[in-house]
This record gives sequence, structure tokens and C-alpha cells, in this order.
Amino acid sequence: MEAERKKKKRTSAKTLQTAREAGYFGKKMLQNALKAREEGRPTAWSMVTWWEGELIAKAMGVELVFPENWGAFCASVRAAEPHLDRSHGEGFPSTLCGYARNCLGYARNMADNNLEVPPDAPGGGLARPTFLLSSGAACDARYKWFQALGRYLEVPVWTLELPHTGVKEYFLPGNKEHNIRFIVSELKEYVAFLENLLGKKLDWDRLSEIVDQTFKTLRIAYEVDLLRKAVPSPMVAQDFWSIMIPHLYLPDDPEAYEFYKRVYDEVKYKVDNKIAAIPNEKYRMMFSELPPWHTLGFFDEIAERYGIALVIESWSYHAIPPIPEEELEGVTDPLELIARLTYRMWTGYNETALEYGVDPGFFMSAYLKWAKEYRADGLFCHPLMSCRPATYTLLHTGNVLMDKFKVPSVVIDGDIVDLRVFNEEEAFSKVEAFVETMDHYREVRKKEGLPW
Amino acid sequence: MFFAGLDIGSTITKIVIKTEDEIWTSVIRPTGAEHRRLAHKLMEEALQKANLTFGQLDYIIATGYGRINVPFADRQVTEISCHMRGINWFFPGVKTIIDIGGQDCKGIKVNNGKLVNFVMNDKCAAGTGRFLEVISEALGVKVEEIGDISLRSTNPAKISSLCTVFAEQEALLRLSEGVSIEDILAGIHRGIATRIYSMVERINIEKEVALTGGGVKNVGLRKALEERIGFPAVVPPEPLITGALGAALFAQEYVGRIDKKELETRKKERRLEAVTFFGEGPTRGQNG
Amino acid sequence: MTGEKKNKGLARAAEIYQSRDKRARELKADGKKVFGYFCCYPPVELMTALDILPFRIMGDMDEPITVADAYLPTIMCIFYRSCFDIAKKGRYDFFDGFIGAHACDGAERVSHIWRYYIKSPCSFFLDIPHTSHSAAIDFFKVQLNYFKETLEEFMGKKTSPERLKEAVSLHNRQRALVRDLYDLRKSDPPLITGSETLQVLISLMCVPVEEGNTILEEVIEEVKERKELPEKKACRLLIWGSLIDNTAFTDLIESSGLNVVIEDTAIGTRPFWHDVELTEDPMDGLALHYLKEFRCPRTFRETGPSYREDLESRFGYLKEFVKDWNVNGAYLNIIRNCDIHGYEVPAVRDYLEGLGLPVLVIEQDYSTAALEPLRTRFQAFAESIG
Ligand code: SF4
Ligand code: SF4
Repeated sequence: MEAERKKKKRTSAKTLQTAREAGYFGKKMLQNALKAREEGRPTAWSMVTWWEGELIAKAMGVELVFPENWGAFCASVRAAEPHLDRSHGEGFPSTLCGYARNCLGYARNMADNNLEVPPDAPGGGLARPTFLLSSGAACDARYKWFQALGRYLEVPVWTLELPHTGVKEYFLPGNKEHNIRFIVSELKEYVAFLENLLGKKLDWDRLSEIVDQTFKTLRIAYEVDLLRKAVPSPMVAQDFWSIMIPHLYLPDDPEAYEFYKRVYDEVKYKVDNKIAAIPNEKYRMMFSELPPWHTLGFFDEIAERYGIALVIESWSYHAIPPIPEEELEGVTDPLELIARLTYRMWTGYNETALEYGVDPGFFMSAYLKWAKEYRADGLFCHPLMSCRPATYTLLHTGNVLMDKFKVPSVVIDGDIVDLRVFNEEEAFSKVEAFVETMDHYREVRKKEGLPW
Repeated sequence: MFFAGLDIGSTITKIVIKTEDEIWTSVIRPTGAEHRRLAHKLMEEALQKANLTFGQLDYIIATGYGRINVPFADRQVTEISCHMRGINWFFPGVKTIIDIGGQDCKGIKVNNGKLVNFVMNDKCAAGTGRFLEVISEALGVKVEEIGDISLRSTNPAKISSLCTVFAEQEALLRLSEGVSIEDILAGIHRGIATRIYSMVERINIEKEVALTGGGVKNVGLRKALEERIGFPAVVPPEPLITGALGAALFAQEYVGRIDKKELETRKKERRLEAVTFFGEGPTRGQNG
Repeated sequence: MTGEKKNKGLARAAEIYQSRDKRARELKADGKKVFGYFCCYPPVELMTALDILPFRIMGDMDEPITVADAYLPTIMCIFYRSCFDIAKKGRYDFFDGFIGAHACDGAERVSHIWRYYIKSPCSFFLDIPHTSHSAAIDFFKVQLNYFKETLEEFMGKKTSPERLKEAVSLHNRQRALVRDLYDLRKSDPPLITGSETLQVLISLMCVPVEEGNTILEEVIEEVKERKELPEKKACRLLIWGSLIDNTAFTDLIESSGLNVVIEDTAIGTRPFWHDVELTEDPMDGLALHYLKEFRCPRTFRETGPSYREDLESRFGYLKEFVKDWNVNGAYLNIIRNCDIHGYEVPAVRDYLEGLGLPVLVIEQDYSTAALEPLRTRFQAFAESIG
């Protein structure tokens, strides 16, 4: 019985109808890639670059596949291990990013197979790309990994620049505009690289359309986030992790935009009618950063047992806070719009960071703003054995939340490829104890006059 | 002339005494942590067995984890070189050696009797004798038997090879799911073989391959490794002594390089004393 | 310095190496400002030009990491965890300023975290682009100017292009002297050991450039005159990879039958191998130098059309090292969790093996307590060469 119940709980019960429909976009992505392959269109392996590189590639008719995602897929169907072993055999240290090792091992298999997809490749494999799109944002793996693929694939690699100033430095007079200008110049180079590689010109009108649509989609995705401040929470992380696919990967798709309108309506309706995502919401928690994809049912379980709602989560997957209007005034160059968009993603919480005197503005500062606005009782930290940026600042975030707001955090280990690291039983007992901690700090916050 | 090789491993100490062309005697003793420093006693035992006196040994080479401060050794050589040399004596055509010891596992490449490359596992017990002990304990079977048991499997269980702790958990889980011990053990052996294979693959596995070390006494592991490699491997008659034998062979080689007089003075100065270990005294570099 | 008898040359270097902060604290007591900085990217020239003592932040392999556990996860580069750990324990409490840098993601994230928990009167975080495209060099120059202005504001004075050029010349002089010192390692046996060299290089990173240059001059003279040479060994070793900042490590290597003759690391050839070009606007030379000429794999170099050509363009300089220093073995040193070097291992190994060198790779834990077990590997490696 117990075993059966557990099995059922692997995938989570989404609380939004729209979230249940979001799987469509995952399938659509796959179909797009297949179609591109049939039509003989160029493909690229790409990092998630927060729209910096993807939109331009799309406008050039390049179909993108994301080896980070594919790594998650391989792990979930337990097909990553032979790749990891292969990567180990090649001499890559086993402390490197799990998705990277999965991909490097796979590329080695491809190299053994004349650069064709090996017959037994999980999920149909990744076809040999026309080029690789790497990014300097977030972690070193995201460009070193693709550079290392040169050993097998012999295709060009383009590395996108994304400046990472400190918070204080961001506010130095003129620096932000220098940052933007730098991104724009690099995007121009990137366009030239693509035109040269693909032997065709970029259709600037098409790019503008794509950018336009992306801004709209992200705007409404952000508005959904705002609705989630309501108490009780109208939706939870289990929903978000489904609905994020369209805005993260297909924001230029009008269907994604239409979809978000419906998400918005559904969430709005629940807020207006005080319909809670989970019955008996008692504790409001934030979650950082990547969830244990294969055990999402765990979060339904803690909702049921303890009344824990994950009210906001995963900074790196969220739509950006909108760019101030005056900043966009008169800006029509799509490259500049893209530059401002991605840069905003990485600096959108710098004001908060400055206010509290913390660094960095990315990964951690959003949680400071959220803690207050979403009235969070605690932070669920999920450090990953083999993803650096999702883990680097977790302890720091927890410390600062305690310092500034008396919001406690609980740390439960996991991993992106070795799914066994996340131990459900242990996690339950930690959460159980943590509930008392949250009670305690509620009192402390009250005494200190904090508003929640 | 008599040449001695002394291999102080983490769990077993071995001694080989040989003449110019044959193995004269060998001794193998499990040595727990406290017993390791008693290697001189073991040497006495070997001498007794060989009917020799300490003074009759012309050259002594120490190898293995405990080689550093053996006061009665003339020289130390790493176990990596010694395994290479020992195997080379048995099988001159071998290019790749896989040594599965008690606490670590090594891959060694040989070319014309010369060490060309090697890898060692670090920090991870998977693929070592220790790992097999943990698993057999968890499953409640004798470690000497697990290899044979695994051979009876018809449908090896799928067990990941990533980590000792998890493999143990998984083994127990499978057991609770009703999978037979044979199948679990076969799965475990496969997992270890994969792990070892991918490590040794770092130096490129080439035919002919020799397997040595205590781990090879396990027929199940041997079979799984051969399957993974894709062709049969050779195994020396007594896989435990290849390191000590190699050391004795090096002893023989070094004697040829020093003159008689020096050899005699050296022999006089040698004392059959207890071994000291890391942190117990000043560490000494390689002498000679 | 006080009246006590002054050590010279190697002895002086060893003394500074032993108590790295002593001289800095003395100077601070005399009113000099001391700034700690990460890795080799913040231009020391700018600090020198403003009379600031640049002090390279290092970790401590002898000190178990305890305090840092509450701030930095274990998957973080162990070297930076150690830096932070000893800083949090007060080892660097004499800094007037802290200069973080986006050298690698570990350095970058630790810089941010550092600023929150360890306060200095002045701080700056230097962003460094990932490529050396021309736009990146321009952008980097802008960042360097912000860095300069931050220093100027703190010091309450401005530097001039002339003063900056003087500082560049002083540091170039240091670079030339270090290269002269490396020349003394070309003979067999090398005239100076790897451990001695490490002591000298580290001492340079803890004292003002002028004092460092004096030490170098003395060392070079002393070493040239040496009667008692280091032992000749079968292997002349090139070290590539993550840095080594403790002689316990080089001692281990050199007592295992290997002579270290050249180190392509961040406390080795890298900071000294190229001079900064004296450009009209000295900031141009600095930007170019640090982003383009400085050779750390943290900067993405355009991949070549084929793997072989790619290796040649990224690691071709190693060929010179191998030839000129008569190298016959290479050790790739990877501090655990140092991704920048970790991803390169197979490529560098391919390249060096292509030059006919045997290659030893070790991922190590940046801890003297964990060193001894590595001895077997170094010895076996020496045996394979000897
Ligand atoms: S470490 Fe994390 S963010 Fe970096 S490439 Fe891997 S999965 Fe992506
Ligand atoms: S990887 Fe490069 S930048 Fe990072 S610490 Fe090491 S040498 Fe410095």
C-alpha cells in the first residue's frame, strides 16, 4: 500500500487547470525540433541564455535544443549513467556539472558513431548541431562545457557575453549603459557570425516581431507572479514548474502568450474568490533553486501533511520584473531590446540588493524581496551535488534572510543526475522539524515588528 | 643470491623471496591496522619458511601503502611499478593491468616491460575489496562466496554503479522487492566492473589485459570485467603476490647496478626492525 | 623595517613566505593602505600607482576549513573556500580594501559573499568578460577605469598617466626578473627548486613591487653563484592547472623523484609571462594585457576549425615551455571543484601527449593533511620516466 501510494505521488498534482495543459509546450518543442530536422534546417545546441541568444537564432531559422534539459531527461529515465561513465573514462573530473558530463559522454558516443545519433540514445538523442551556443552567464560550465565538446564535434562555438557587475558597481554612474552597449556590440558580432555560418541574412523584421512577442509573453508571466502574493496562495511551485516552459523556451510563440492569458485569468479568478491552491495553507515557503524533478509529489505530500504552500520559487526560471518604461523609450533596435531584457533578468533585483547591502543581485536578492512581498515563513534550500550556481549562494541566502527578516531556511540535499541523493524519508523528517522552526520565527518576527 | 620483495598493503602484507630465476618462497598475511608495523615479524616467518637468515638476503625492496619507512629495506618502489613488473614476469605480452586491491583500484599501462601510464581511483570505495565486503555484509553472505553466487544469476538486477552507499541501499531495496540474491550480486558485479572499466579506460585499455590483486579471486567480478572489456583477460597463479614479486624483481635488477663492496656494507647496516608510519616519524624521500 | 638583521634573497623570500602578512602589517602601521585581491586579474599596477600595497589573497592548506561551512557549500572550489575560511577567522583583518574579481565563477560568487560578511573600508568587484573580442577589451577598459576611480576616491588623490606608466614599468621590471629567474631552471639540474621558486613568487605577492624587485635581484645573484645545486632527477616536470600556494605540495613532488622546472599556473608563469604594453593611455595596455595576453583557460578563446588546430591555438605556448625547459613529464594539478581547469583536462592531456610527454593528472583537496597519499602517484610517475 505504502509503496503504491508513493509511486503515485512521483508526479505532482497541479492545482491549476492551465498547468495541467502546459505539457503541450514541451511536446511542441520536441515536434519543432523534429520538423526542423526533417526540413534540413540548421540546429544548435544551446544553453538557456535567458533569451539573449535564442531569439536571434530563431529569427535565423535555427532550431535550438538544450543539453541541460536533455540531461534532466536522461537522468529521469535513468539513462544518464552510461554517459557519466563515458565522460569519466575520457578524463573529465567527476565533480563537474552532471548535465555537462552526461552530454560529454554522449558526444563521445556520437564520435564513435560517425557523429550520427547512436541507435540507443535516450529520447531520440541530440542530433549533431550546426554550431554550439554557449553563455558566460551563471556558471563556467556553460562555456567550458561547450568548448570541451570541440574534442568530439568539431563545430563552431559562439560564446555570448553577459556582464556580471557587483551591486555597488552596477549603480556607478554610466556603468549600466556601458554594460548594455557591450552586450549590443557582442550581439552584433553574434549576428555576423550566424550570417556567415548559415550563408544568409538576418530578417530584422522577423526578429522585431519575435522580440515584441517575447516582451508581451514575459510581461504577462510576470503579472501572474504578482497575483501569487495573495493569501492564501492561488497557485504553488508545482504549478509553476509546468507553466514556466512556454515563457522560458517559447516566449516568441503567440500560443505561449495566449496560454499565459488563460493562466492569468485562472489565477486571478482564484485570487478574487479566495480559492486556495492547497487546503489549510498554514506555512508559506519559498523554494530555491532547481527542484527534484522526479519527486515533485513530495511537495503535495508536505502540503497535505503540514499545510505548506510553496508560494514562490526558482528565481532563475522566472520572467523578469518589467523594464522601467523610460528605459525603453525610443528604443527600437531589437538587439538593444534583447540586451536590455537579458540584462534586466540578471540585474532586476539589484535595487533590493542595494537596499539591504548585499551581493549578488542575481540568484539571491529576489528572495529578499519575495520574502517580504509573499509573506514567506521559510526558505526551502535544495543544494545540488553537481550544479554549481543553483548551490553557490544558498547558504548565503539563508543567512541573509535570517539576518534581515528572521525567516529560517531548511536545507535538503539533492542532485540533477543522481536522483537518489534526494532522500524522501529524511526530507520528511527535516520538514517536520522545520515546521516548528517556522512557528518559532513567526513569533520572533512579531516581536520585532516585522509585518508578517 | 636472494632477493626479497615486501608489499605492505592496506589490508594484507605479502613477501616474496626469489633467486635469480625462481620464486623461492612467498608469505601472505592479512594485517589489520595495528599489525602492519609488525612486518619485520612476517619477514622472520618468511625467512624461516625459506630456511634463510636475514643476512642472506642480498637486496630488499619495500612496496605498497606502508613502504615508506621500512627500516630494513634497501629501497622503496611504488606498488604501481611493482605490479607492472610482477605481471610482466608472468605475462610479457600484457599491455594493460587492472589491479583490484583492498582499498584502491589501479589501471596500469605497460610497454616492453616499462611503466607508461597509470590511474588510481580516488576516495571512492566502489571497485575495491572494501566495497565487496560492505555489500556482502549487507546481504548477509560471505564475501568469499559472492562471486560464485553471482554466476548463478540468469537475470542480473539493474544496480547503479555510482556510489557505495547508494549501491548498498539499492541492493537492499531490490532484495525487499523480491529479487534473488544471485541476480542482485550479478548486478552489483556488473556495476563495479563498469566503474572499474571507465576508470581504466582513461588510459586506454589495450590487449592483452591482466587482472590482479585480491579482487580477482572473486570469479563473479572477473567474469563481469571480462564481459565489459569484451575479451578474456589473463590472471596470474597467485594474484595477491604480484606486487611483492615485482619488488623482488626490482631488487634483483638493482643489485646488478651497485658494486659488491657497497652491497656488503649495506647488508651489514640493515636491521630487521618495526615499520613506522606516516606521522610517526620524519618522512623520507626516495633513497638512492 | 626595524633594526634587526635583514635577511636577503632566498632567506628573505622564505621569511616573507612564512609570515606573509608581517611586512604588510608593518607598512600599514606606517600608514600605507593594503588591499587584498583575488587571483591575477585586478591590475596591481593601478594599486601601486596609488601607493596601495596589493596583497594577493591565498588560502591555507594547513588550516582545516571549518568556519566557511556555514557560508559556502562544499561543492565550491576548495581553494576559495579556504581563502574565505581564514579571512573569516581574521587572518586578513588588516585589509583596507577588498578587490573581488570575476576570474572564475567560484572567485566571482565568493567575492560577492565575502563583501557581505567581511567588511573593509573600501571594496570593488571587477567584472571580467569571458572573451577577448575587441568589444570585450573596450568594456574591460571601462571597468578598469571604474576600478581606478574607486581607488582614487578612497585614497583622496588622483593618479596621472605618468605615474601609472611608472607603475607599469616597475611591474614589467618584476616580470622580466621573474623570467630571468625561470631561465635559471633551464639547466639540469635546475639551479633553483620548485619550492624555492614558489617561496619567491609568493613573497612578491605580499610586498611592494620595489621590495619584490630587490628580492628578485638578490635571489638571481645568489642562485647563479650557487655551489650546492638541487639534486639531479630523472624527471623535469611541467605543472599545469590550478594554483599551488604551499611548499608542502612542491616538497612532496620534489621528494618523489621529480624536479619542478616550470609552472603554468596562477602562481607561476601566468602573472609574469608577458609585459604590459606601455600604450599612450596606459589603461589600454592594461586592458589588453589582462584580458588577452594573460593565459588562463577562464578566458574563452575562439575555437579553431578542427580540434587539432584548436589545441594548437589554445595551448601552443606550452610547446615552448616544453622545449626551452627540457620538460619530460607533465603534471596537471586540479584543485577539486575548479571547473575552469577541470574541463580542460582531456584537451591539455591530448596536447601534451601529442608532444610526447607522459602526463599525470591529480584532483586534489587543497589540504596538507591529504597530501601524503598522493606520494605513490608522484613516485610511480617518476619511476615511469626514470
Ligand atoms: S552547473 Fe547548473 S547551471 Fe551550470 S551548466 Fe550545469 S546545470 Fe547548468
Ligand atoms: S581558475 Fe583561473 S581564474 Fe580561477 S582561480 Fe584558478 S587561475 Fe584564477
